[in-house]
Amino acid sequence: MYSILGLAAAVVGLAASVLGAVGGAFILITGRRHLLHTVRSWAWITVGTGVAMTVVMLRALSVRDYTVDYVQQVGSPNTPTLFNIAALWSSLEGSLLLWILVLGGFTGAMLVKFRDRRDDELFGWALVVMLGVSVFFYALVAGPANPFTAVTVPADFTPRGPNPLLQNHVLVAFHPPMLYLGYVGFTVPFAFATAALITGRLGEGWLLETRRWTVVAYGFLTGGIVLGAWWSYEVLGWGGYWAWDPVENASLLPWLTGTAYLHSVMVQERRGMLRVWNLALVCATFCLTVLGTFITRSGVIESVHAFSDGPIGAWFLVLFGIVTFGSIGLIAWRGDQLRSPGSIDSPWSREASFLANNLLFGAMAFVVLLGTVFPLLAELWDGSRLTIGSPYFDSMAKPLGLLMLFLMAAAPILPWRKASGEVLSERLFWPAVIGVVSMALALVFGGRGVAPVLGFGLGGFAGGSAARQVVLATRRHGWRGFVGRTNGGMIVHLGVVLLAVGLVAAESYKVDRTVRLEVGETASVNGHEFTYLGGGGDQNGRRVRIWAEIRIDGQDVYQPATTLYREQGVVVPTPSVRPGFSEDLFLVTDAVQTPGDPVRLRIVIRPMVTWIWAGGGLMFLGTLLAVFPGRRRRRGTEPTSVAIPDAAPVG
Amino acid sequence: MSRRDELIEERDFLLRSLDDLDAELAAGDLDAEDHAALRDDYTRRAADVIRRLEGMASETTRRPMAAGGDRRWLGFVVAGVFALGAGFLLARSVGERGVNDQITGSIEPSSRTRTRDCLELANGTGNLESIQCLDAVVADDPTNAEAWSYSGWFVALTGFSAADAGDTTAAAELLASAEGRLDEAVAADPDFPDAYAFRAVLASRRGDHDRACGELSTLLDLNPPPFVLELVSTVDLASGCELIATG
Repeated sequence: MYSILGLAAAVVGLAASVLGAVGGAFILITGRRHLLHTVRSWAWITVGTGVAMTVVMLRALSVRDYTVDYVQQVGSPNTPTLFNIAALWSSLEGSLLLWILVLGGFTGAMLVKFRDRRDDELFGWALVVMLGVSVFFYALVAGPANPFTAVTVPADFTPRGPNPLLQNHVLVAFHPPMLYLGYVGFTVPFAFATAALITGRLGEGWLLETRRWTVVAYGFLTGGIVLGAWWSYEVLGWGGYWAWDPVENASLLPWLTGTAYLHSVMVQERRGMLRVWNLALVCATFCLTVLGTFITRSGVIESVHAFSDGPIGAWFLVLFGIVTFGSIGLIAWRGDQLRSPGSIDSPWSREASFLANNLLFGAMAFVVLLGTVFPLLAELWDGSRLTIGSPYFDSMAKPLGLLMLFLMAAAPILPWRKASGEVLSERLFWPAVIGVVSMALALVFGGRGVAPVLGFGLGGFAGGSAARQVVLATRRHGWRGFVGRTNGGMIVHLGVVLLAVGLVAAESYKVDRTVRLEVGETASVNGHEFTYLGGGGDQNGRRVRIWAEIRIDGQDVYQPATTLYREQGVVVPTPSVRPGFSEDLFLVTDAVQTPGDPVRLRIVIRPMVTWIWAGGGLMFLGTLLAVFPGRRRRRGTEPTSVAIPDAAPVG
Repeated sequence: MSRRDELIEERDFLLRSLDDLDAELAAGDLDAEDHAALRDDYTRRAADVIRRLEGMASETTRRPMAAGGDRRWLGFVVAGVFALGAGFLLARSVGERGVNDQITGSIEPSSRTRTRDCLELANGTGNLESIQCLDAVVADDPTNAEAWSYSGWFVALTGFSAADAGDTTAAAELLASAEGRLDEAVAADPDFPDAYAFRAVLASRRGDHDRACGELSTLLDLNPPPFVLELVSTVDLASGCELIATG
């Protein structure tokens, strides 16, 4: 029954998407805008079928209907409720359902937000693009990646449940949905950018329409990436959080171009410049979300995230080609209308610093993209199976990251157009003092190495600059000094500083030791004492868990464990972490032990790891504050925030 | 967009920018000197655009092409140098992708996982690559008895081959090295059974039956896995070893 219901919803959703996209385009091209309300109806149907498919699948998972193919893949009577829900996105077909659900959510939000603009051509084309993307995903779930395929249950069938790594920590319930909200959220600015290109309404109007949508997508993507790193730290048991894994890179790429866009868009709003660049960034960000999905879902890599060897890779490549070449073609077509009338008056201006910021983000995106696709291209070229090690990414990211921190310090205090020496020295004084004090403190507390100490100094410099802006804004506007794009942006900057300083410390001063301990024995590592008290174990139908009890510094007891998941026959180490303001103590045993036997204990001590998570949280909070309406700017100071006159309509 | 439209757009932009300048002076974003300089510049450019619009064309207000061209070339050079640097670093970080490797990055595997990977390379009998792999593991984690044991065993197997080939000097060196590695294994974890099995085999090969029996006795006390017992059963330890006879 669930197979039929799910497939029926998928087919109806596909039909509605096709009718909405094709019909909408026809209506707009032929100028029958009074019929645009029909497109809205089709769009609402796709929203409804997305919800219906998700509900059907969740129900099938909860009743363990193994006649549904996807449930047979990931269902198990032993899986706890939370992870049974999370099983929805634990494999390829289910994750496509989540994608459709989120895309439907954004489409529905657009329909509500722009409900008064039924006949607006710009919104009409944006809706057509959203439905076009919807066609692709519905076609996948109705065709080659149908999760509702009806299957027979073999007589000797043993339910396996989801991947053990995806039922080992509560973060798995939040990290993928957050990431998808970010990925899919960037479809909205892409849809409006495409609509602006098609209609020729290339003034700053479309930017204003999509400003908050972009910030929301950025906030979710940021949260998703940071939660993913946290999940990796807490679950994978390797003592780190970021490995330049292709899946991590795939999520970072649209974040980099999205961040660049959020800065450069202000230059266009204020000065009317960078029109082509901004359109290119929006389109590139969406293209990179498609590329990232291809990389993670097509089976071209070997990773915990890439579950599929299925036939969807070619589909994603086709979508990637259409989106990429379509965007380039549209931008080229409208090239003559995208000329920017302004120019940068001085290198000591905010627009110049934003331009430099964009170059750095663009360079970083190039580095990550090159490293990620190079092995794929090499394999395609001559079959050689290559891997690009972390040193490449690290050695490129460090100098670029330090330069970004410097710009984060300078840009917020620079005025538009031109800054005098006097203004610079006045506004940079306190941030510079904080930067110098940060470096001094780092040295006092044992910091060594030029790059890390410079990182602390630049972190203090950037933090001081952002804090200065927040203080000034709250003095002038009270609590409203925390909200709005600029003020929320400064909170994001403070989050970035925390995250960056945490990364510098955690990567530069890591201690990693493996010790073998008998019961009652104590090991000293980096000033801490680890006493092995013994162990214990428990089991249920799903797993066998054996842990070691380790007392740290004569105080609390921690329990690193190894867990054998019976259904999959997989052993998963479960680290135990003592988090702290100044350092984390990370414990992991790497083999199933009999309780009471000697234990091999890996101890990883990383300074300031909690700063990374706190920074990520602050960045997310900052984006929420940035979305909140701030003080309205006087229209007169936005000279080019109008549509270009005489824009030729299509058709 | 026609040339006239472009000029109209530029005129509007410049006139609005003149208004902006006053607002920015009032907000304190610009000082008086910069305000005056920028205002003069915008006024001059606006006047020029207006004159051209009125058919009184004069020299262009755009910056000289040569300056723009120079900057463009500089940009290309910087981008080229950056791309070359990235390519150089990428070339230095390229490696061959093994069965369990990903296309990019590296999760630092645990010492145990690395040992298992090395043992896969060994293909049961050991080779130079697997020995080097295990040496790298124990260099980072000297407490890894499994890595010490199997590096010792694989070196011993190489020594046996050398001895069988008549190269006694190389055999002696290799077997001494193997003994040292196995001693390290026992020191790292006295309860790891495999090391005793390998030491028993080594002792048996050099005719030290007492030592072999002693190692075997310790091994049996540790409840070794079946494949280890199978290994020692293939070696003729029975003669002179009561333990085997009675066991």
